[in-house]
Amino acid sequence: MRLLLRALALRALTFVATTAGAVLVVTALFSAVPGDAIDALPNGPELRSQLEAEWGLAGGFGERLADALPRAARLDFGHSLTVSPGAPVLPLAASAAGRSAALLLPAAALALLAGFLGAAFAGDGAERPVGAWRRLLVRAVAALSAVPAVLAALAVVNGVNAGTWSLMEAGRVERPAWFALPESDHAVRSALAVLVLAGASASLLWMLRRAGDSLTQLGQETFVVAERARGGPLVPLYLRHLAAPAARLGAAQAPALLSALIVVERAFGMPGAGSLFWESCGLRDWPLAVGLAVVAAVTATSARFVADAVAVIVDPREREALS
Amino acid sequence: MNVRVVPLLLLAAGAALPYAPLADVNAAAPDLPASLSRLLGTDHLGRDVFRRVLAGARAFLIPGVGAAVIAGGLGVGLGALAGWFGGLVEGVVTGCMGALRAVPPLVLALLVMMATGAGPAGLALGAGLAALPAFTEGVADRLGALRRAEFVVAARAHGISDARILVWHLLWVNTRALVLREALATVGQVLVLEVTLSYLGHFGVQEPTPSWGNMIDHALRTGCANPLAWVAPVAAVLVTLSATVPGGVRR
Amino acid sequence: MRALSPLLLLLPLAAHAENLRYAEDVAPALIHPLYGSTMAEARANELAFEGLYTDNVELATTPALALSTELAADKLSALVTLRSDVHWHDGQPFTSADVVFTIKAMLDRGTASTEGGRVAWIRDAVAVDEHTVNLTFVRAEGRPEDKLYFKILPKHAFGALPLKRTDAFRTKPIGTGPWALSQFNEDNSITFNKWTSWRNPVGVDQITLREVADKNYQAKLVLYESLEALVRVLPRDLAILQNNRKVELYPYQTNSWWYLGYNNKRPGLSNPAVRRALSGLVDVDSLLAPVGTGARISGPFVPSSPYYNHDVALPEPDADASEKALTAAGYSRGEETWTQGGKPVVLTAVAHQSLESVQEVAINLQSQLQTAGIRLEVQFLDEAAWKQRVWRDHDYDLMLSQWSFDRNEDIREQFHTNGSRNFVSYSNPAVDALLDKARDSTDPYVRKAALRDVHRLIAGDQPMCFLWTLDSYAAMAVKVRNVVVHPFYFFTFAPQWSMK
Repeated sequence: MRLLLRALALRALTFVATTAGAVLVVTALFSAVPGDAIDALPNGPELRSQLEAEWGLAGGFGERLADALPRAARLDFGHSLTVSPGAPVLPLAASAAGRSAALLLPAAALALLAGFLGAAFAGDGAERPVGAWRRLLVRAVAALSAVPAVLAALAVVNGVNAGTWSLMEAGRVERPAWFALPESDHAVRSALAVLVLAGASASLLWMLRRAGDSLTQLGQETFVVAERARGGPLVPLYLRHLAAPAARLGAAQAPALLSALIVVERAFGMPGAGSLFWESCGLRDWPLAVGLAVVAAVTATSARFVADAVAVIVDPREREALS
Repeated sequence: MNVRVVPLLLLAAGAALPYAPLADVNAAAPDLPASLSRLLGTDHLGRDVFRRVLAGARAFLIPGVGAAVIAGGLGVGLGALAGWFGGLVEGVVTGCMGALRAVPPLVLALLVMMATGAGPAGLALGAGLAALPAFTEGVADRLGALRRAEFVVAARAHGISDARILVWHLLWVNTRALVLREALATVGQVLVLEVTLSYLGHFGVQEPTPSWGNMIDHALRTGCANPLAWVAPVAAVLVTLSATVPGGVRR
Repeated sequence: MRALSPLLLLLPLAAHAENLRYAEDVAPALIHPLYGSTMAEARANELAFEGLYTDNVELATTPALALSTELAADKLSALVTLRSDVHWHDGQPFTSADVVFTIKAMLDRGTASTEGGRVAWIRDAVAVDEHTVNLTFVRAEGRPEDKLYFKILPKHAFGALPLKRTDAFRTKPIGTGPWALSQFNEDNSITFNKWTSWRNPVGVDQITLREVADKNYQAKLVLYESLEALVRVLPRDLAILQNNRKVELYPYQTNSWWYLGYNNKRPGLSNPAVRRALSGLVDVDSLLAPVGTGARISGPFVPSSPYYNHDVALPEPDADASEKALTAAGYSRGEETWTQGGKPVVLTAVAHQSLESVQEVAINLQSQLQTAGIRLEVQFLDEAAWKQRVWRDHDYDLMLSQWSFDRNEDIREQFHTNGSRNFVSYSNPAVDALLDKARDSTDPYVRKAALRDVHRLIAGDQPMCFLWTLDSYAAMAVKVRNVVVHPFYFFTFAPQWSMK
């Protein structure tokens, strides 16, 4: 019990540090960049004296941070200044995060699955070496996924549209319901966006490598070697002991996915937290950026907490490591 | 030598060739196709695409190395602290890295570049901060797993100081490959950031300094009639990324 | 029927409703005439709201919510008679109280409206009766109806003044315009439905604004028949669209012009001879060629403007004359660069990065000046950073940008010594006097003559190098008929468009 409480206390400390740190990072950066939200208005000079006080932009970094931290603790992020003027930040950020989650979660799961299956196919963690052509195939696919999300998104949207239009002009197909990207709200658009996000953010490559590490490490564990020698079932053993590394890898994909998310949301016309974060920078909407950063920090910390909890539940060595 | 480094060396050699971007402007010769004198033709402003592709490597190699140095230097230090001491120290370091992660790397790099002015230094700093969590957590995880290993216990029993164990046995012997791998990936990530920032609104390396990102953006925006104006930098990006982002197969 | 009118909006449109879809780079965050900050918001406001006056297809002032305006003999006040057959989208009648409320709201400093300047010339507004408003002016006005274009708000939809941009009205607007907001959609699109009780027939049942952030896609979506309208076609897409049988291009001329501004307060640039010399080093035609088609200008108006002085010739590049002028001003030509006091001349230029083709212009300009021996360093800044550097700090040597004016073409704020937009810090007492004369005169001919003189003087002083006005084209699917495009607000004549 003492160990568990200690572990929980550490996690709580991490959570607070992460959230406060997110507020600090965003506030510091927004204080350093030239221009503010009032400059985003056409007659900013005439309104400055009035809006500076109203929008809390009169003070410097220290004053803004001193104002933002306690309000963040109360989950009070105020209202959006310029992106969606007057809209309360927390509901705006939360609903955008929800829309992004509909892309992020399937993309993360897809990358995870592809990473582990690909690494297994390439022979990582196997008892005997596999054919070189299998390793080459996996390496080729991985290299293809090195395409940056921006180029992949442009290629997919333009290629799919152009190809479909050619077929329509030739009379080969009727106009599909999802045509043309990115303007249609359709499952096809979502599916393509998820594929681009999973594959083309270097997430797949990174996943392949880390999954390979996990498989190799697990394959060398004494209990796996023993089970292999006994001729026992390895799949349940692997599934049980890969749960923790898979959960950690899933949580750790976040940075690559979040960056790619901005591009994918923009290219596929699917507004979410990524494009909202981007807009808040251009329009210097500091409260909205703080709110989005806190939502991201809470999500990432929670994901990591879940991953650690899975590890503790599954692996007795993790419980021992707590001591 | 690792074969993946070869394209980078070739690029670095090309990037070292002199190139004067403004002298290359020739409004009278836009969108020319490939020829013997201009191997990849010209873009919408009459500039030689081949020479710009070579010179464009500088735009990410220099900030890429800078970002790797920043992230690696800070990351190894912080990761070593977190991994070696664990507990409260690890909690605080993890929290700080979580705070950095909460801002998408693209946004982080953008804000840093806006604050410091768009240029190699801003890109290096922004990309370095964005890559810092990966370095820190990688080193911390590795050290956390190794600090109770048998060879560490044995080293202590032999009277070797904690400092030497940490620096030599754990960091140098057991972690340098990880750090080098992350450094190479960081160079690739700088390229991805630069291309993406250029596409999203001219936030990458600014003209007239050539970069593959602003070359692609320029060709698409101006509807350049010479397809090589965007094909060449895209190919350069793909070749470089496949060299810098490690493949997934290891034994 | 009137009482039921609001309910009609709740009924789904007939299955065969024609939907005109158009693209904006960024969808409006609000539909509120007092707080719009982008052209996308201005165009959306044009659908849902009306002013007392508007333009007819000849761009002459014509009544909209007003019937007539009777100017007092001293020209310091006017009686505006309003239409009595107009209702708001919620069925409430439009009255003089709405006009008075709108003007007072815009004048109220607490409202912090982005449009407050549009009524700064009105001292007071009083409702005489339900459909008559008495306006008193700060100074004599010759044709007040030319300035009564601002959109009117419904008094009954608000509480006490001042208004706030956070008011719920921003996403639930109530106007008198030909279309009423139906909903903000989750994908950032906005749908407007035809207001069936509008005083004239409306030919398009539904208008949908779609956010298409990537300009590279916008023209393609018109080709793919996923959009029916594109407000402005990029020059590089013109060839593709004009060859397509299903798309029609409509040219229009905005009152926008590009310029290279000089910071008149910087050493060297404070000397008009130096500024003229720099302008003489620039081959403007070569700068324009890769960008698109347009007309060069010699002063602060577009050539089609009544105030443009066609007697002022377009300056041609003259390197010899520029060299002599720079030498006379104390500069020395070294082997590669000009120097002053032994130091090479290096100028910093800032450019608005969202201005289309600005990169191509800047690079060409740098190349031209480098050939002439002057090093130019260009920084591309986003909106907020640009405003801080240029509007607030005046921290630049040159700036590359564009001014856009509406029908009034009031350049006073840009060139008067006390002008709030005079970021180049230009000052010429003779120009100030002429601008004051143009503002105070109620005689359009006096105003025209004064502004033409302003053109001549400014062209000589060269506080900026005047570049060009670009040709603009809108693209419409051929199924949209009777199309006339308003050059500033796009949708002003949309009620007469038809898709049936």
